[in-house]
Amino acid sequence: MEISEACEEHVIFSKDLFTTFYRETFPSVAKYISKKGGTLEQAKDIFQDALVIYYEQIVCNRHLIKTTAPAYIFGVVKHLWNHQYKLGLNHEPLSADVEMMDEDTNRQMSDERLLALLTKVGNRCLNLLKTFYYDKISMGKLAKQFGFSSERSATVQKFKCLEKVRAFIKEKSLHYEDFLE
Amino acid sequence: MKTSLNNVYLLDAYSHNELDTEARLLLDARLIIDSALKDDFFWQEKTYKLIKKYGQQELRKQLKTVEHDFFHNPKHKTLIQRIKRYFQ
Repeated sequence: MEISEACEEHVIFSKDLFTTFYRETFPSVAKYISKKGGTLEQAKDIFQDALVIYYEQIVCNRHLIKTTAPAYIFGVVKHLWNHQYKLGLNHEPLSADVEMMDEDTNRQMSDERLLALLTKVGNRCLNLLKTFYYDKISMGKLAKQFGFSSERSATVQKFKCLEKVRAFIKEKSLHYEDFLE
Repeated sequence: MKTSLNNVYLLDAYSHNELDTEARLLLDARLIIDSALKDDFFWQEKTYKLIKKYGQQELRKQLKTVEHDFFHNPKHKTLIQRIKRYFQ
């Protein structure tokens, strides 16, 4: 499949599309990783990292690259193997936002803990924000998906959610700092 | 929109480069002199970061399900055996 086709389809998550990648691209990735001395588990992990990058760069951000999706994914796999896995740096899930641990970040509640709390108290808001900001779904599609009567209502709700989640994160983070003192 | 929502809206447009040059410069200046606005901006940026993290977490969960279904689907038995042989 050409990458531009995936962009035109632009769905939140297409199980069929990713199953096709496992069926058609994963075998050659596994063969490559085995030749390089890696394990099946490493092949699975690195392939998943490559699919996350594919999703973020191609599906979400609609970056057009003149190649096929399998070739792009295989290229990312090679890059990740050479720069991370081979060096034993694959202990943490891939993230573009590598944080330097310093005194301030140590004092703040961890992102994982904050997210766990957020999913308990405001899952609908969090999902709405994720759908807009991470999956980059248009406001029209988002309105339909979340049952809003119009794009305008969905937009207002998006900002209310952003305000609510922002206040929650601030409150929890600051209380956590107080607790440490 | 309420004033507080206007603040969220304005900072959202600022963070996503959707303001024109004049509005951007004005907000640049306000962020220097208005400590409350600067504080809101800090927490809004943190919110975007967490939304991205949540998106990645959810995507990884979905990919794990796809991976599990792929490895346990009898339709792919021969292909899976071939893959496993690469590592023997």
